[in-house]
Amino acid sequence: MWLWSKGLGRLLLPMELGKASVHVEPEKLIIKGRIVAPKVNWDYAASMYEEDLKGFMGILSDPVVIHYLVRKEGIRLLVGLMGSAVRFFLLYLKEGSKEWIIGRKA
Amino acid sequence: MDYWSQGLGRRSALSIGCTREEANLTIQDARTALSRVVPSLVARLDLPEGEKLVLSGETRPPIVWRYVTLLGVEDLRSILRLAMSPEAVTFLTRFPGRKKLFLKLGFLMGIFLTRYLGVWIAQKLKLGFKEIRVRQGRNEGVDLKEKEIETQEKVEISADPSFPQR
Repeated sequence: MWLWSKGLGRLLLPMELGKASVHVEPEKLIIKGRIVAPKVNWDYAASMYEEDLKGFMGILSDPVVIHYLVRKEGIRLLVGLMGSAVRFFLLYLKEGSKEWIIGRKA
Repeated sequence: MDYWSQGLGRRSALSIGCTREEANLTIQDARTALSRVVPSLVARLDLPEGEKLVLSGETRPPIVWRYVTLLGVEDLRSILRLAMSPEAVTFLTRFPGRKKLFLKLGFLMGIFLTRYLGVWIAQKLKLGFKEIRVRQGRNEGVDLKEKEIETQEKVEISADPSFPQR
């Protein structure tokens, strides 16, 4: 991902999301990583709140994005996503039941 | 989304609106996308090649700056991977209104997957029809060529003086 904003002037910041780490806080998810480019070696952090997660899923579901992804990735991405979605759901059930048991004991 | 990086210095984080209403969404190559916003800088920037998903707009107050984000397929894949990571599950299970959020995100994910499948099928059908048309065109071309050769042979035979004429 590349980010440019007015305050950066002549810099275009490359961010390797694949190398980023995710941290959990009560009301937000924080994505942390490092931007390495000529003249730049900076830490970055992007905090995502409930509204951002919903908003970003809305952006991903936009026809423009879907056409782009289908053209570039075909069915492979969908197959991978289905697998991830099932794993995600099972993990959610596992974690949810753990929380529920802790709640009952308390 | 609150974005912070060391380069922002003493300024607080930039607040980037991550909703469809706040961001302009296009598919362009980096040069075209940035030349609309900062034409003077394009020549000096080291830009990525190929078509990218371009998200652009203005950050929310107090720091209102124009921004452009370029996302490649690999980035979108990484975002989806992060969104379905065990950390994201932990976040969802500990979130105060977790059931509501889980259902909402699940619904949105369902829309994404259904649309994706729909577009993929539509593209396959379109390609299939195109292939059939190309094949039909080729067959018609072969038939025409055969007819042409046949006529040419007839003309040659009739023009031959050694061929017995009536």
